[in-house]
Amino acid sequence: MSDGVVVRAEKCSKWYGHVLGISDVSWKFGGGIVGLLGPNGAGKSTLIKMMAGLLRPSRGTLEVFGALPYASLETRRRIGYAPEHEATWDELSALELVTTLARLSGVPDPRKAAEAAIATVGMTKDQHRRVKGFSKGMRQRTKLASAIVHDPDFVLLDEPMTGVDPMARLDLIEQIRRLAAAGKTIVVSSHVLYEIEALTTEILVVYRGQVLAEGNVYEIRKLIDKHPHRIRVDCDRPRELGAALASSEHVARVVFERGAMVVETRDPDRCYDEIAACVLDRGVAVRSMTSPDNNLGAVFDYLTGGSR
Amino acid sequence: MATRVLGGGAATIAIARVSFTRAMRTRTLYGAAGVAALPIVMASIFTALKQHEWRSVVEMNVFTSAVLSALLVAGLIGEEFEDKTMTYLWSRPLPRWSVITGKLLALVPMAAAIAAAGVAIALNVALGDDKAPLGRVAIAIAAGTTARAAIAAAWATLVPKQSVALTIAYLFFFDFPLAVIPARLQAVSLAFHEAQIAGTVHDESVTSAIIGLCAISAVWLGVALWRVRRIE
Repeated sequence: MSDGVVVRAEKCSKWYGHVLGISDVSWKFGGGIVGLLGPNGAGKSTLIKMMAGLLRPSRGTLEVFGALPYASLETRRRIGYAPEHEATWDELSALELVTTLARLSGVPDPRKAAEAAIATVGMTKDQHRRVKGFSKGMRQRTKLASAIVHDPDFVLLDEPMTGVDPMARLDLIEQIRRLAAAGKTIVVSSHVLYEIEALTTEILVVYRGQVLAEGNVYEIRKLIDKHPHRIRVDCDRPRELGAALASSEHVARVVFERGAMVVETRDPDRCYDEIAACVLDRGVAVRSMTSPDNNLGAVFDYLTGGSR
Repeated sequence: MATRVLGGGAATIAIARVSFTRAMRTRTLYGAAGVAALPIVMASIFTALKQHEWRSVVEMNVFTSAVLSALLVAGLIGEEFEDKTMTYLWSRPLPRWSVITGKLLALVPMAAAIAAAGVAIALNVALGDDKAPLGRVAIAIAAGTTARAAIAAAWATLVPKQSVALTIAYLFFFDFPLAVIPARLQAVSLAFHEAQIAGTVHDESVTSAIIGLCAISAVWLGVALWRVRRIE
């Protein structure tokens, strides 16, 4: 790692039989947190598993700390991995699980290290409970403790916030940030843009096994914002609300759907203010207000030129 | 924190430790113990009918030991592949073969002890037959169960989802029929060698039977270790 590069992929591809996992990915990454962003089935987990040494590239190379993680036990010793799937050794308590994984990672005092890792993720109170009875949030935290128990330099977290309630999500985000502040290099995957935005500005957008974009999340945001932003309002009188907004200079277009109105705008902040004002003036009962563009689909639609 | 890569032996022991703990907490273990108790029921029926057919009880035990190996070894290893919990082991800095050896180190003594205890109780307590070579039979059943565990481990790595069914099918439709066919192919049957060691038939020496069991186990264990190196 003389050049400070932690991960280096060169024309890396992976197939599962005839099914493509990732294709021709070239990427390098030096440190901090990077968010791996892509819809389900994009190839994020394949890339993470290759970095964790679980999968071999079918073609090309992928190195971590200058070595092939699949072949090098010494490299895998420096990697912490939390898989996407929920299944763990349910018959064990959280402490037994994390202690076992610490022991298998060659930690000199596995029990002590496990207690420390569990404390880091705020699970001390429940450490003697069997994992079988854990909620999704508790499982995610236990997985995080398992991934960091051996104090790895490089931590791979595959969809760590899936199924986690908002409070637990905030807590996880804080814990991941703390790990990064402690000098760990972290890769976090997600299919939700705002989860990644909450963690880091550095992202790698993966779609259909290929890297579509790489760099600062704000650059990606700017690309999205060049296109009309959509706001969907589910309410009792969508046509009346739409008619009131149609004359606004910030509204590019109004489309009606069943029980809802969708506004397209190039200035979302002002448009939100105008919608709120119109709703209050007319006493419209709003059931929900969402932005379809806040999901990753809009990014991919833009980056792929709407070809997907 | 100064960590170190575990050697194969240390990794095997660490994996055996967790596999043993997990197995002790699963229902599979009680299911296997229930299956091992069937020869005891059979022996009790023989006693009630005043028949002292210790050979039949031993044969019954060979069948139940096949099911027991499939449930405990193929079931628990296959389940770990199926549930993807094996990724916790693959992602650690361990030689891959140690995952199989560790699991076998935990599960084989368990399966062998249950099977041997089953036959010992069936012959000695339920049947009350003091002429049956109890020690020899128990050793034969334990050895046979150990060898069947290698077959179960191989199936678990080859076809995790159907490993229990395939292990049982292999043993019942290939291994057991071969044992009773008077041909040289008997040499590849575990049940044939097991019967020699138990003393229920006398077609070859006990030493040859032990060598036969070891050779068959080694081949199947080799398949499991080869497969586990390649599995992704």
